[in-house]
Formats: sequence, structure tokens, C-alpha cells
Amino acid sequence: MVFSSLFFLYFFLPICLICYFAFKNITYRNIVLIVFSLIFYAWGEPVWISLLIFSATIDYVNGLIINKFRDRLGSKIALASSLILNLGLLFVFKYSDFIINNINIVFKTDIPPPNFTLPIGISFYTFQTLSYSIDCYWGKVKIQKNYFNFLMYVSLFPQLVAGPIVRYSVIENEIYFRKSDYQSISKGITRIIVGLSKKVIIANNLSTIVDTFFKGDISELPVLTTWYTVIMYSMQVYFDFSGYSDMAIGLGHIFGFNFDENFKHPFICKDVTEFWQRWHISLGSFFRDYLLYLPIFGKRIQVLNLFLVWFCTGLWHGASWNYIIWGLYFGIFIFIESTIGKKKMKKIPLIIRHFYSKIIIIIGFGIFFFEDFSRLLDFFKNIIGLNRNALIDDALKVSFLNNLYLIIIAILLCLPILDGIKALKNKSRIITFFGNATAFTFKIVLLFTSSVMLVDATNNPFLYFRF
Amino acid sequence: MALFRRKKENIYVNKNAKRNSIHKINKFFDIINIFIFSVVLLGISTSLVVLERPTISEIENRKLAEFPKYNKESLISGTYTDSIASFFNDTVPFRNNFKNFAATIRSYLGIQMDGIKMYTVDHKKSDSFNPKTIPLPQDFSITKVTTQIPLPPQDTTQITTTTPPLETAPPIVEDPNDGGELSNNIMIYKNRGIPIYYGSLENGQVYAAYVNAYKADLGEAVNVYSMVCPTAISFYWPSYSTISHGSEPENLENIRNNLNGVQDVNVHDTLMEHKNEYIYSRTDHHWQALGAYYAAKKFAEQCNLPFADIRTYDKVVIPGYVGTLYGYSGDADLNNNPEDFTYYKPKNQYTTTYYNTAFQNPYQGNLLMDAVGSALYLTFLGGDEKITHIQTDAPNERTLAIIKDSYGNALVPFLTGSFKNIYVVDMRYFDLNSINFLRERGVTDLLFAMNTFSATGSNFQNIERIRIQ
Repeated sequence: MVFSSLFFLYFFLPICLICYFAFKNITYRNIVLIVFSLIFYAWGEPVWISLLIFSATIDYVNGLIINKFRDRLGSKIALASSLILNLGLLFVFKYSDFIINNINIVFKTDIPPPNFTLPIGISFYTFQTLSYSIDCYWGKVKIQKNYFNFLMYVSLFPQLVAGPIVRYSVIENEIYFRKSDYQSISKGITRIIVGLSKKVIIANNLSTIVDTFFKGDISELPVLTTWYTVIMYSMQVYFDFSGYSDMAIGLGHIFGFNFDENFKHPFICKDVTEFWQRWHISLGSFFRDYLLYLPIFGKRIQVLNLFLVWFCTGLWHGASWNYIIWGLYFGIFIFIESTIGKKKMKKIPLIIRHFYSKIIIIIGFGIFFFEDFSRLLDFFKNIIGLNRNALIDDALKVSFLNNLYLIIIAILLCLPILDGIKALKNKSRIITFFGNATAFTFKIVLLFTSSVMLVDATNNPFLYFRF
Repeated sequence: MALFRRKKENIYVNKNAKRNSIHKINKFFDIINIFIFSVVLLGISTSLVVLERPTISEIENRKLAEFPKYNKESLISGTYTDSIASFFNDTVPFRNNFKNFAATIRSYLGIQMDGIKMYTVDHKKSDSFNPKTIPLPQDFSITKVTTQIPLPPQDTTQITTTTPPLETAPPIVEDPNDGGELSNNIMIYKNRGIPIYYGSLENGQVYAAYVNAYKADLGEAVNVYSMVCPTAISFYWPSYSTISHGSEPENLENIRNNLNGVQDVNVHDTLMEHKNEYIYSRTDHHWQALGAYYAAKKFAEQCNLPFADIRTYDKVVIPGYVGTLYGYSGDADLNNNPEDFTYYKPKNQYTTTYYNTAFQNPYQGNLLMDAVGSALYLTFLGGDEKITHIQTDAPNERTLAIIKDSYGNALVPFLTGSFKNIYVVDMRYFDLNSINFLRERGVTDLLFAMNTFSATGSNFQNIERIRIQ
């Protein structure tokens, strides 16, 4: 089930909310959340719910073992089993085809790939359960002794299938004590509508631009058209993914949870390092906290750790070489930036840093888009004019003008303009009143527009569903 | 000092009062927010459950998703629950109104350059839009024909093709149009939808090779003709536009040069002479009957056969037509500027018999049907998934077979005065060996009639498939 569907918004969600708020007792509310989360997950893939429960059970049991055998061999074994089983699940279901296909190419063998369908959200929930076991081992969180509470954390439907990767420590206390007051519910509603609009009104329409130019043969695409399309794609991914995160965070607010932000206007970054501090924050912090500082290669060669992190970041996004290249590509620039050092980086004129970082990021999204190497090569040739294609053609002009307002709005929303407006909100009574009234009207219009456009959209899964 | 302290206290009190009132305003709007959106959510949810749901979409020419039938397998596989969600999403009450409204919203996403807009069609989706066959009206009487037409031999495996499968034909280039009769990209120019043509020259050569094989199999006794019909792009493309597209005239010339023993019917040049008349629909990817009339006339002249002037037909005009290109593009301007759908009823005597795609289960019906909505093109023969036989009062013994896509359907009414018998076969929906069929029916003239997208995209591969199957 996807958030951006009429079925979710106008069938599943209302029933879930009615059932949830029918109880005041937190235990019953948790049970409602477990039941609806499992229904949510099982809706399209009932078989794979067994994997979810399996992963949750492993880490629940390992947590108990770690607690019982703290600082002894038993805790190490439990942690190792958690690592092996969770990463094993990912390996089998996400990467086995990729690895076997590469073995077949390198060794000219003919091993049939198992062709597993990728269980939705496996990359997210395995990382969540893994983070719990590691945090238990490090003593950062208290052990969850109630299996159902732990299952609720793992299966919590707002963040289950496409993140953000919510650490157990974030909601540890909220499992028992959380408040759905009028402020948090109102905030949640606003956030859901904003997220839905980002996905349905902006990302879906940007995707039609991308499809127009990138879906077929791109070898004859003019230089500027290629740049234009990859910029549109960068924004599409941002609005798609951050829209989902907004909806997840908004749903969390309604249920009384406070998930961490996953995006903080990444395109305003001044360098690549900052981009990754603003983009998919929950993934970046996961790798930073659990992988970057582990002395895998010894403390002196931390640079290898850095590249391992970016290799994993790329691989996490998909079982294809272009994702690995994408990850390492960012790793190289982050390494260069860290070698130059923060102080020296700051001395570079701001405009140059902005220009440099946007170019690197946008080209990065090109690598992210093209899984096929020959098409990726065409893309690189196009952006530097090596294909001897035209600089521009009418298709670009038509597409740009046909979507002019959409593009302007998308660019403006990449900037923290709304945050600035929000900061003004409580300056005076009049501003507060009119600000609230305007925001309220906008929300009604956005919900109506998004719902109408959903009637028109037969298939609009979130991009990050496949990761 | 005391005054200063009092002033400070006053400021503090004022600030507190201001903060309190701001807090009250925020609280008021938070509660309004929750209340209104709860009402909206519950109101819409209840309406979606209670109101009657549509079962078909006229705009898209398709049946909407049905509520799935329960079985254990579908529940386990997830298709049952998925289908429930699809049913809920697909059959929204007032769906057409919402779709039209969405089209209007989309039209405000930007501005037009010289009246041009571009759309990309998801062909996976559009396949399901494609109306294959018109359902017969409930009051339509079907007369079973059991004796008039000899049925083909039961043993349909007997193949008398003399030319082996064309293994030496040039390699087929992957269809850039993703199959079918129109492309992924549609330009809207001055309220006209123009599917953008990308057909390859290599495929044009393979098409010619496939058609040549029929001539080789059928020999001198049968005249074989190739009529590849250009589409709107050849006539209405904005000349200044540099948007990448293929050239239909170039590929038609390429096909012509590769035909061997097969006569080319050059309808491109004929239609060009009439480009200012209403020969192509603005909102549909087909031509209008008038375009088909000029093409049929050109063909009849090439066959040296009599051809009835259009003034001798009964003209029927159906206003308010919005065709397939609106369904594909969702462009508000197409929807807001409907056109006339015109067709012509022949006045001579003829009977029309329809068969299934294995040339069985015959029944008599009308050549021109009462189609509705955006499926008006189904007026001609009622669709494609059938074999049609028309027996006419034409003063000769010539038997024509038309192997075609849907463009060929509109030709048929204009040829009823020229051939005694006409067999119409859609190359995509034919279960027999075509050479056997043509011989058994005593065909004297064979016409391949399809648009350029079919001839140089992927549909043309069916020409060879039905020859060797």
C-alpha cells in the first residue's frame, strides 16, 4: 500500500485513526498500531510479512541475550547473529541476483539467479532492527522486554516501507509515553498534506518531464535538454522521497511520535559533504554511527572506512553497478573536501561552492538514473557535448514553457522559504491570524488538488519503494 | 527607578498578553484544522464508500477495475488485496469529472510556446485504454449464418506457404513507438493531437520484405498492394519545430523502393492535396472517413475499378467527439474543443458477416455500427478482433482481402461498390495461416493497409507471423 493513493488516504487511514483514538490506554493503542501496520504491510505482499516478523523476532531475542550476557561472549554471539541474519536477508533477497549475474559474467558460468522479488521496505526495516541490536550491545538503549512493543517499533507503518530509518532510541520512550494533543495532531495533518502535495503535484508531474526525454534513446538528446532533464530528475527524487518522509513524520505526529527529520533542504548546500548532511539524513547517520568509525581497516587508514561507507551507501540504494559508482562518486568528493579541510573550503567564494556542489550533485543523479551503462555513457557524452548533438531544440523550449510554473514552484520549494515564512508567523496577532488563515486555505486547496490528481494517476509508487 | 521598574513590568505584562493571545489564535486554528480535516476525511471516505461507482470510463474507453473475486491463492499472492485497492482507486464516483478537472489543473502548470504542448504516454497504461471491439448493443439481432460461407478445413495446420520464413530479412529494430498505432510522445499543436512518429527505415525494409513474400506465395494470379497510410504528423506538424521526429515521407519512399512485385498505393501524395480538408481527427489518432475516402479512391483507380463519388453516400455527422488522444494525453484543450466525427453510409446493396479470429461462428451484422463516446472510430466494423466478409452488388467478380490495422477499417465502406467480395483481416488478431485463407477465399486482390506506426513499428511483424503460422 502506498501513502499517495486514495485507498490509503480515504479508507485505510480513517479506519486506523478511528480505531486508534477509540482507546485512551497506550497498550491498546499500540495493539491497534501493530494490527494496522501488519495489514498495511501485508496488503500487497502477505508472504513477505513472515520476513518482517522473522527479522523483528531475531533482534528481539538477540536483545535479550545481549542483556543477559552483557560483556560476555554470549552478547558478542548475539550481536554477530543479528548482523549475519539481517544482512543475510538483505543479501539473499536484494543482492543475490546481482552477485550471481556478475559471477556468471566474470567466470563465464551459467548459475541461474534465484529471481527473488524484493520484499518492500526490507532495506529499511533490516537496518532499523540492526541498529537496535548494535545500540543494545553498546548499551545506548534499554532492552525492550515486551515482544509486541518491539514488533510495533519495527512494523510501525508510517516509516515501515520507505523510511526514514527510525532508530529505536528515537521512540524508546514514546512506546510508553506519548501524547497526541491538538498541536501534534494539527502539525501532523499539515505535514501529511504538504508531503502528499510534494509527491502528487510536484514529483509526479516532474516525472512526466523526465519520462519524455530519458525514457527512450538518449543518444541524440541535445546538450541542454540532457542537463534540463537531469535537473528535473534531481528535483523529482527530492520531492518524491522527502514527500514520503513528510507524510511519515506527519503520521508519526498524529500518533504522538516524533521522528527525526530526514531532509533539510539539501539543494541549498554549499558543498557535497553538507548535501549529505541534509539528504536522507537517517541513512547517512546510520552509516556514520555504525560503520564510519569502526576500526575495520585500522585507525590510521580511515580513508578506506570512508570509501567503504560510500560503497555501502551506493549498494544500499540498489543492486546495480551504477548505484555503487554513484556512492563512490560522492565518496571521492567528500574525501577531497575533507582533505582540503573545512577552513580552506570556507575561503572559496560562496558562489563557486554552490555552483560546484550543484553540478556534482546533479551529475550524480544522472548516474543514479541510468542503470544501463551504455545509456549512462550517452548521458556523460551528452552533458559535455561529445555526442555532437545540437545544443538545444524546440522540445526543451516546449517542455520548459509547458511546465514553467511547476518548475518555478519546485525550485522555490527547494529553498527554505516556507521555514522563513513560518518564523514570521508569531511576530504579531494580525500576522498570526492571517498566516494561520492563509495556511489553512492553502491546505484545503492542496488536499483537494492532490486528491483530484490521484484520481487521474493510476500508478504512482514512491521511487524509494524499490530500495 | 520605580518608574523604570513599572515600565519594565508593563512591557513584560504586554509581552505576556501578546504571547497568550497569539497562543490562543494558534490553538483556535489548530482545533479548526483538526475539525475541518476530520470532517473532510470522513466525508470523502463515506462518499467513496456509499456513492455508486462507475464501471466504465468513456474518456479512456475502458472497463474500470472490478471488485476481485475471492480465492485462497489470490489472497496469498496479494493480488486479491491489491485488486481491492485498485478497484477503490479506479472507480471513484464522478471519475470523469475529476479527470477533466485534473486535466485543467495540468494545463495551468505552465504556458504554451506557439500553441505547442508535449505529452509522454505510458504505453503499458495506454494498452488497456485501447478499445479493441465494440460490444454489440443488447437489442442487436444476431443472425447465425451456417450455410452461406464454406468454413475452412478443420485441419488448420496445413500450410501451403511456398516462401520459407524470411530469415534473411534485415534485423528488426526495437520499436521506438513501443508497439501499437501511435507513439509514446504526443504533441498538442493548436488544439490538435499529433502522435510523434519515430519509425525506423530498417523496419520499413523488413515490412516490404514481408509483403513481398505474400506476392511470391500467391503468384501472378493475385494483385498485391501496399497502402501505408501517413498520419497527422505529415500534414500538421509545425514546420519551424526542431523537435526530434522521424520522417514518414522518407520511410514511405524507402518502403516503395523495397517492394518487389507489390504495387505501392501512394496515399501520402493524394492526402497532401487535401490537407486543408477534414481528413484527420484532431482529438483521435485515426484519420477521419474523408481521409479514408481519398485513400480508397486512389486505390480503386489503381485497380481500374469503379468508385462511387462521396456525394452518393449518406453523410452522418456526430458532434462533440473527443477521441483517443485526449484519453492518452489528458490535455484539457482537446477536451474543451471537441470535433465532429463524420462517416458515410454506402447506398448500394451488401451484406456483412462477422467471424471470430479463426473464421468461425459467423453472424450477420451492420458494416457501420452505432458507437458512442470517444470510441466513435469503432463505427467502422465495430473494431478489430474479428474477420469480416462483405458481399456486395459490385458488377465484377473481384475478391479483395485487406490485411490491416484499424486504419484499414475506415476504407471498407468506400470499397463496397468496387469489389464483389471483401475480406477484412486484422493482422494482430488472426489465428489461421493467411496464405491458405487467401487461396481458399479465392482472393484476386490483396491490400495491406495500415498506418506508418504499424508498418515500421512492431505491428508489421504480425504480417509474417500469420503467413507462417
